[in-house]
Amino acid sequence: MAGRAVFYTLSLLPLLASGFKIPAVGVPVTRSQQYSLHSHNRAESISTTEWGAECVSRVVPITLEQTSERTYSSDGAAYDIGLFHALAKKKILVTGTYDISTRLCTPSSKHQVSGRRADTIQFLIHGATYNSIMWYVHSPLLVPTSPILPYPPSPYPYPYPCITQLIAVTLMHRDWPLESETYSWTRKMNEEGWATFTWDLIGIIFRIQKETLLVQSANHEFAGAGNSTRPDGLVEAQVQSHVETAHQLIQQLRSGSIGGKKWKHIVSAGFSIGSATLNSLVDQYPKDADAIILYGFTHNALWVYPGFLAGLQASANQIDPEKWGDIPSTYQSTSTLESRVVACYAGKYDREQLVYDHEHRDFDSLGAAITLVLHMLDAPEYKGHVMLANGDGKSIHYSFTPSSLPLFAFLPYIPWAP
Amino acid sequence: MGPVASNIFYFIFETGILLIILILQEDATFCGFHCGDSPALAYEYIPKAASYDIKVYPNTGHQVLFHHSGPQFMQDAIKFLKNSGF
Repeated sequence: MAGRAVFYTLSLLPLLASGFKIPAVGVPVTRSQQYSLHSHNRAESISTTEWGAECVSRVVPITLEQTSERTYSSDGAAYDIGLFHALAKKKILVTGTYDISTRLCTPSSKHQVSGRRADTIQFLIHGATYNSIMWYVHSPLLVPTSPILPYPPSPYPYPYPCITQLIAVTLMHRDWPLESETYSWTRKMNEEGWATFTWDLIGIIFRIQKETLLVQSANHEFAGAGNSTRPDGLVEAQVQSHVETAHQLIQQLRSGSIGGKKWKHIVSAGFSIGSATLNSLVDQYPKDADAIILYGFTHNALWVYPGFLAGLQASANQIDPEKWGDIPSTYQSTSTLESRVVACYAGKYDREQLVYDHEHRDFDSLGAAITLVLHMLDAPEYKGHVMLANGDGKSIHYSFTPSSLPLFAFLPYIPWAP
Repeated sequence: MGPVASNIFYFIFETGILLIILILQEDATFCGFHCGDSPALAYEYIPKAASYDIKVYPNTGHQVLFHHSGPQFMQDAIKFLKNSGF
C-alpha cells in the first residue's frame, strides 16, 4: 500500500518540478509540418577508422507494412484512442519505406581472427537520446577514403575531398572528451576481431545529417541526393518500428544482402531503448540473435516511467527554438543538463563527457516513449545467451534505492531546495 | 566528488509533500538495498536462455559505457561472448 502511494506520488514529481508549466510534449503535428532535408548518403562510402577497421556506410531502405486494422493520424483534430491501443498491441501503423543509415566495420588485417568469431557480427542498437555515434566515441562519419560519390575538385589531398568536410571532421574529433582507446565499443570489439554493425533508429539520424550537411552543402550538391522525410514521431517512430527494422536488417545481414557476406552468427547489444528493442526482438523473433547484451535495462516495469519522466524530456523545438525550432513537436529530448544527469549519469564519470553528451544529445520520439515499456516484457522462447549490465541503481531504469532518486533534476526548480 | 555523485535521501508522504532531503556522500552505501533485484528478473522473464551473465557496476549510472566502468563493461562483454562460444 505504502509502495503504491510512493509510486503515485513519484509520478507527480515532474509536474511539481515544472511549476505546473507542462511542456507540450506530444502535440500532434500534421503532415504539412513534417521536416524534410537532403540526404547525401544514398550510396556506399568506405572509410578507415583510426584503429584500422574498414567501415562501409550504407543507406539501407527498409519497408514496414501496416499491421494495424485501421489507419491513424497524429493530427490532433483527428486523434482516436484506437491509435494508442494499436501502439499497445505492437502494431505498425503506417506502411512506409525508410532510409536507414548503417555502418558495417570489419577488423583490420592484424586484428582479424579465424573460427566462429570471423563469421559473427555484432548488431548494435543505440539508446535515446543518442544516435549510433555512441558506439564509436570518435566520429568517423565524414572520413571517406574511397568515395563512390563524385566529389568536386579539391585542393586538399585525399582522403579529404573538400575543405568543408575537413572542418567538420576536425570539429567532431576535437570535441569528444573520451578517448576512443578506452571508451569506444566498436574500437574495442574490432580490435578483438569482431565485425560491428551500427544503425540509426527511424527518425533519429536527422540531427547528424542536418548538422554535417549544413557544412557540406555550403559548397556543393552531392550527386544522388534526394529528399528524406522525417517520419511522424508518434505513429511511425515507435518501438515496434525499431523491432521490425532490426529484424529486417538482421535478415539481410544473414542473407548477404548487406555487403555480400553471409553472417552466420548475430550477437546483439542494445542500450536503453535499444535494449528494449532488442528484448522485444528476441521475444518476437527468438532466432534473430545468438546472444544478447542488454545494458541500461530492466524487466521491472514499475520503475521505468518514473525514471523516464525524471529525465524531463520535452519537445525539442521548445527546449531550443533557435537550433531545433523546425523539429516537429513529437521529437523530444532531455531538457537540461541536470535532467541529462538523471537520465544517464551517476557515480564516477568525467564532467567534460557529460557536458559534451548533453550538448550533442539527439532525439527521442513520442511514439517510442509511449511504447517503450510495452517492449520490456518477457521473451519466453528466447534460447540464446543473455548478458544484462546496469549501473548500480543511481539512475533510471532501476529500483529506487535512496541513491537512485530522480529528484536531483528538480532541485534547480525548487526555490527552497539546497 | 561533485554534487551529481551525491546521494539524496528523501521521504515522500502520501500527500505528495516532499519533507526531508538529506544529502549523503557515498553512493555505494545504500547499494545493498536493491541493486541486485531488478537485473535478476532476467532469469524469470527470459526463462529459456542458454546462459545468464548479470553485472551491476558500482558508482555507475544508466549510460554504463560512458562512465569509468565503461572499459570494464566492455571487457565483461567480451568475456561473456567468449563464454557463449563466440
